[in-house]
Amino acid sequence: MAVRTIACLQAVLFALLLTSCASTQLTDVQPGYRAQTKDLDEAGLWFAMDRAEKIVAAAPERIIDAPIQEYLNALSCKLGPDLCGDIRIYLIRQPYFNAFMAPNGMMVIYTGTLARSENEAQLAFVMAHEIGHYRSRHSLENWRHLKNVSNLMTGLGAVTAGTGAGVIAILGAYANLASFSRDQEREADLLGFRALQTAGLDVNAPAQLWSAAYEEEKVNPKGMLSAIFASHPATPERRDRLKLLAAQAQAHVELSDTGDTRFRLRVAPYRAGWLNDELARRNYAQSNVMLARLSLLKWNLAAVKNAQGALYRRRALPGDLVLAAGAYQAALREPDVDPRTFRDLGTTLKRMGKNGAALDAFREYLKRVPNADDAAMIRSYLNAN
Amino acid sequence: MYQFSLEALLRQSTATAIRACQILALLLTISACTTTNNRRADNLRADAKIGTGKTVVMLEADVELSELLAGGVEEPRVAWTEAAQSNINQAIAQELKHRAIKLVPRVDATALDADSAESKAQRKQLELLTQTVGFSIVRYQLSPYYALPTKKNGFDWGVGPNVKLLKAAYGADYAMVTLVRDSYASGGRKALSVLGIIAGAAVGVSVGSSTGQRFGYTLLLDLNSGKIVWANFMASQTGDLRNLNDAKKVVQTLLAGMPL
Repeated sequence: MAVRTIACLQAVLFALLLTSCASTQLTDVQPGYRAQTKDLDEAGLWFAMDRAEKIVAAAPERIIDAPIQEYLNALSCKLGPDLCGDIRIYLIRQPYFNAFMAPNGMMVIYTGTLARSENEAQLAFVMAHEIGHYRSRHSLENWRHLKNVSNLMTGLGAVTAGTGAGVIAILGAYANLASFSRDQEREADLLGFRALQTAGLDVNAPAQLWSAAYEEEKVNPKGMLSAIFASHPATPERRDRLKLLAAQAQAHVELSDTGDTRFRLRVAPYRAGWLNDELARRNYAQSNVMLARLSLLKWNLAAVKNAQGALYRRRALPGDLVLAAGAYQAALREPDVDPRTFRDLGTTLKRMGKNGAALDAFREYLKRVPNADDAAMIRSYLNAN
Repeated sequence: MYQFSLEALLRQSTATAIRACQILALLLTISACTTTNNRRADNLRADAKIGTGKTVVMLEADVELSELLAGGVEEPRVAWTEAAQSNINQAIAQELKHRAIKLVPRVDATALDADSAESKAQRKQLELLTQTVGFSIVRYQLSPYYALPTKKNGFDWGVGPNVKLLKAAYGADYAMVTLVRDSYASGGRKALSVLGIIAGAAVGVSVGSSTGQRFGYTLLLDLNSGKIVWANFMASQTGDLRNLNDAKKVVQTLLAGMPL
């Protein structure tokens, strides 16, 4: 009797859980949209995000310099003119290739995304993709889906308790969750691509950027955190899909602006610092691939070669010191080189046992930056010889 | 790029708080306490009154109420939070009315317009730091399970010399910081809980699910020294903060023994 009652209860509950899974079709946001109080879950999400945004806005990692902030704001408006007033951009100093969109219009971009972009069109695609998430209200869609699936999973756990059947059902539900988010990514890619095209920016940029991300992903050592976040996977499938879109669009393209000059003007002042952040990840396999790609660009070469030198010097595998010295010397041939490159070259040569050449480099460093923070230490090297 | 997730965002600035929160939730689940539980940790005598004649600023109580759904997902509720926040602030104000202190008007640090964006951000960071230290006190000082070897002798917590930024903004001697998190089970969650108990008993497996819980803390931060001079924490599974009388009881528990 008791067993029957339980079975009945289980059946009723299961049915209740299933009906709660009916999906809702969401309409796109309109300009000036705010979450409606009557939609409890959406209002709750916005409320939590408005609070979180205050934290992000005050975060020490945030870059608040006006020129780059205004540049990003303007680019966002160019990509989604109707939503220009609804999206707020926060640039956060993190060396990963990542950006995300909150349902309330907060867009967070990591500096690692700018450091990896070769031109404005590549960065623009990332931003347009995020605007696509906002426009399609993917956060809310995802949240509702998550609630349904987690309710279902817990329900399955309860109704199948002790039988072992629950595990398979729960795994099925998880798979469903993952594919749901992949569909959203595809949709945002498509929306981003169209926005890029409408703005007259280079339609080849998305495939280039994802191809580059995939090259980094391929070499990521097992067990290390990849620079490419798993939540937006860099797969050959994605790269090829973006390539196909570009090929299809090519016939209709009149303008194909990479925005190279505008991008350089805003990003160049930061690149050396961001590359230093990148090296601090100590994922030298990935950084090496990234730097090799950036060294093909015709700007910021001193910073890129300097970073390559630092990578080899820190990695210090057999033969790396020779590579480091070579990279530093290449950096020193560039017009806009940071004088600290002389110091780093000196340190490298010293470790190689080339004392004479090391002292020359140290002297040159002190000549150029006599009041450097580490001048006393460098002088002690000179005096010891 | 990737779909927004709350966890990813919070990881940026409040990782410690979240971890402490999870441990705390775990702790509460294990001890399965059904009654209100408050602990006080400080170096002060029980009857100390350090606030006599001093100025105190009551920073806005940080309150968040959410609905605990059947699957264990917590969904924030705006109307509930606003009601609870208003009740808690009102109850705190009433509790402090008869104390020998001077209350300085409460201002949202981000609303002081005269200052640069940078100093506003720094103040916000300090308030967040205070919150995080609050979580650490709850985790490492008030809980007997996680005592830190370096914190065994006495009560030694603070936010450092930059507290002068808060002093400059509020001009008070002490800041009172309160944080409350609360969740209530949805109908589905309650049904699951009942079912879990029945079904679990039948098959010999425990599948009971929690039906929501509340925890909170109040700290007293010395704005001259940067030290936290007093802390109290409570956890319970009963009462409803959306109701003023229940909120008053919670506040009385939180403020019990406060040396003001």
